[in-house]
Amino acid sequence: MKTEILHQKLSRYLDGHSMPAEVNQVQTWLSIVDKTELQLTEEEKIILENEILDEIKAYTDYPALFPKAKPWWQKITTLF
Amino acid sequence: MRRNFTPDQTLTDQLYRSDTDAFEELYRRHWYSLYSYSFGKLKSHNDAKHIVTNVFASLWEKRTQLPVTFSLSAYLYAEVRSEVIKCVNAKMNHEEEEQFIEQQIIPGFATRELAKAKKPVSNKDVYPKPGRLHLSEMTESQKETLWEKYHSRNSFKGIKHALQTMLNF
Repeated sequence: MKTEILHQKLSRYLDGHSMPAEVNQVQTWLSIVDKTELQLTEEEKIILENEILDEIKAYTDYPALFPKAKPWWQKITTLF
Repeated sequence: MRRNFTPDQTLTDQLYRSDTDAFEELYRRHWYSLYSYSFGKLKSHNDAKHIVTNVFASLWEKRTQLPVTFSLSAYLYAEVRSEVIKCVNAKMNHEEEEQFIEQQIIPGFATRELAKAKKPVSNKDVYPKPGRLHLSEMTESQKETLWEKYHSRNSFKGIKHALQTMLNF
């Protein structure tokens, strides 16, 4: 298959205009899971997890719009 | 880290009330499976990262419009698949990605490759059984344990059991 044909096929799929056989082909490709495992150490995983979460926070800005409630001990310490 | 055993459905209900803790917990539970799926398809850490960010950002945006019979895992799976297709489609507009598309993506659409999806998944594929370890491949500590067992006049069953435990058979 040529790149151009695949490009047209995927564009039709995204627009919802593809033929049933094309839908089947794209969905079958999506359902094949690559067995080669992603090699990440626990530390790398934690770093990546926090990086992505920070990006989501920056994108949605939810910490500013919905700040977390302070725990009871923090509320008391602010009184002093 | 403190573990949270609250079911996904409860956390999704809390999400409706814009509970950021519930959102973060859902993120921590599901991000890795989405990331590894995207990475497996696109072979790019940046794209996988971008897709996970988009999927969760869109979940947060849609939190108040989620239907009552909402299944989070089904939603995330559908979203990540759609994002992967969008990403591949976008890559085709860039000439520098042409080689990647021709070598990594197009062969996956061949009939022979797609036929693999219809084969039943066996446990052997998912958890390959480790082969038998030859004496020359054993570490010094493993050899020592074997020697000790042999000299302590254990039965063959005892030695076999010790070896199986030691080598995780």
